[in-house]
Amino acid sequence: MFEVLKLMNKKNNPIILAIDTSCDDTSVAVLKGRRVLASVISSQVELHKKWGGVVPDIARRAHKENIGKVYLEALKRARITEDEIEFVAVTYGPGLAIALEVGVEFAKNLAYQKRKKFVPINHMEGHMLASFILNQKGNGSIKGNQENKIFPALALLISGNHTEIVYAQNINEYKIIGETLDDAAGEAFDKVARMMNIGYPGGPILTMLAGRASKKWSNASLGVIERGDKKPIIEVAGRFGLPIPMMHSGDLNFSFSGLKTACLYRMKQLRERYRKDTDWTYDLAREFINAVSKTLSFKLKKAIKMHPEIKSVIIGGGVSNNIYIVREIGALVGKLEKKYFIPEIRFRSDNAGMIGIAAYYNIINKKSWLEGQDILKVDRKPMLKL
Amino acid sequence: MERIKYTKKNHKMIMEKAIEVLKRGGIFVFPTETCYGIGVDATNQAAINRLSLYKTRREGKPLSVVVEDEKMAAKYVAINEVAKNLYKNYLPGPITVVSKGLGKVAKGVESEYGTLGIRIPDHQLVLDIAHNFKKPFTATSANISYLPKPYSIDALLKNTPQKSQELIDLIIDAGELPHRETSTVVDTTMNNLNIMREGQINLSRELAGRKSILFAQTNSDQQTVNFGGMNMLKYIDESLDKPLVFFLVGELGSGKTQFSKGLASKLAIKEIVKSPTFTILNEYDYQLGKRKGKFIHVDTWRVENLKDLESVGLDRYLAAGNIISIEWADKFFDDLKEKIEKAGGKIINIIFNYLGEDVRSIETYE
Repeated sequence: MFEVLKLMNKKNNPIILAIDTSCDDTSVAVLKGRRVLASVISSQVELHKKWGGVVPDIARRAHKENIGKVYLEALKRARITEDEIEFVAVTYGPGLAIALEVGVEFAKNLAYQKRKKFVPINHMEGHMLASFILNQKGNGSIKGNQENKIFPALALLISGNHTEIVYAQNINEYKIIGETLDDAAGEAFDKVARMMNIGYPGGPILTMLAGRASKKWSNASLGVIERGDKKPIIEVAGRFGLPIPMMHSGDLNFSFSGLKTACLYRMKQLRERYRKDTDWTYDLAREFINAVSKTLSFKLKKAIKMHPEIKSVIIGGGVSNNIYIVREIGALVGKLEKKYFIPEIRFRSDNAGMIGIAAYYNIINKKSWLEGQDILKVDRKPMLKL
Repeated sequence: MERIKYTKKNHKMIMEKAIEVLKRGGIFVFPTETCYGIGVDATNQAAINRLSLYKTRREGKPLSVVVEDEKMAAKYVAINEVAKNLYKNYLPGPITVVSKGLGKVAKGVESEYGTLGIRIPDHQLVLDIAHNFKKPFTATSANISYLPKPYSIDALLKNTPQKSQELIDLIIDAGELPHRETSTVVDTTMNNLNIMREGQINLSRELAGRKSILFAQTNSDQQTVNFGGMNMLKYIDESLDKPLVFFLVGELGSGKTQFSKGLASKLAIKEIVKSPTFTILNEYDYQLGKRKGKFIHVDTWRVENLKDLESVGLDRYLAAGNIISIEWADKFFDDLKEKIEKAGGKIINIIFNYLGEDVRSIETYE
């Protein structure tokens, strides 16, 4: 009896090694079932000195230098040996081609040579399922066997490269129902920061400056601006009247390039009008974040209204680290009485833990993995879709 | 280890003590506007090595350094336009400004890419120490690696093993500090304006005296898309026997991605053509009747040198039938031009100018 239980346990709680190299951080995690035993990110192990943006050639070199060490560190922290690994999972897209390559090659070699089962994972499915991760002690916001009570669900995935609303009928059954037509939300942060001359990455510094905005403009509400014969614009009622993008598109898509241009236009005027940048940068940073939050929550609300049957809303991606955006979305979902899931902070930005949890469900639900020669046929797909 | 309570009255005495510790290569703990920091002379190799011993397990995380002001920073890092702006408008304050280092600090302080983080804390005592010491000292948080950031000395000592504690010479205890988040790190080395300007000069030299082939003043995104389509129709046949490359030149928000959407629209590409800023290079297959090829959308915004473009595989797409749109092509104008001409490619230059909120002038040069 005890043996059977042990076998059952092994079957449902496979040991998964997960790798993500889709961008600048090399990241390796070890999972036992849904539990993350270890999640190691290169900048955290301090194996390479990080300062600096993502420069492709350096990213590739750094991944190559790091991956072996990060892998060993992850095994060590998880207290397992290489032999105990049953599945090797890796992000094969979307992402920076030459960065993805390093992880995919490493994972393929490991799986093929050591005869492990191989699970290629879509990075966005990782963001989608990051809320399902359990910590080492087995705690998390979604308890065991609760998974089925969550779907159908809508996911809002917001990162440096993506802005998507996904309809999830179930785990592993996804349909993108809204996406950006140009820049991703995270990218808009970087570009507006560039226009303001405040460096890279844009998210943290804009958020910091926004914290100093005058109270008067902080709590923006919608206002309608008539424009003669043109369509009225619904704007953030802030100091500079930045437009909330895509209010009239009628669909669930996003666009941040117009907001970017509007910021550029305001800045040109403000630089002429004011002596010091700080006379306007704090308020503009806050208003920009408001405009992004409002467009995200507006489209999410629309999506929920179009799909009233959904039980929950799931958030994922690095932009969900932004407190203003999370507050706005959280309030909306609460008001509409849906369940709301957001990953633990360390699993919001790119990480391998989320690749491991996605692999777990691919293994358990779909029995989807590769073995032997088939492993070698897998190639990175920089533009992979959900 | 000496622990002194900081009051306004003993400001000067504490400052002098701290400088004395720094001068003899010692370690001291000081308050900032965020958490407690730990300081050693950043130009003294032995002191930096001692700090590594204290922190334990830091196989080379870069250290940020405290300076008094921009003038002092300029002796240790190359300050560009972005950094200058941060110094002028936002410092002193909880921001670490990363610039290219000048190699004037001890080994292990700059990052492996030769960058250095500069901190000017909004705390008078720290500024006064920097002013009188006249050299930078480290600004890393006082906790040993992986442990929580310390906001009080008691919390710090509770979490620091005896061995590390013994390495500290002086602790300036300013009581419990407000729990503000640690400093925001910003990198100013991306998109170096000098590279851009050089590129722009090369481009204007190239286009001098030429007349534009097509011209449009667009009043909306849609009109910019349409003008992109018009350019594609005019030049598409060039791609029959050679790679066709559009160089898109214009500032942020001037319509380069919209124009690229227009190029793609005439190739019957059904996927949404999005900004390639993040992935650097996006690849789309197109088919028009019997004609097949790839539409390659490139953005050099995050790219530092030509090698980066080569490593994302640009060269392999320089073949007949392929159509390539390169945003910010002016950044590497001469090198790109040489590469493409070598591959027998045809270059079309598209120049975007910003006239007003929705108004752009777009010119096509061969």
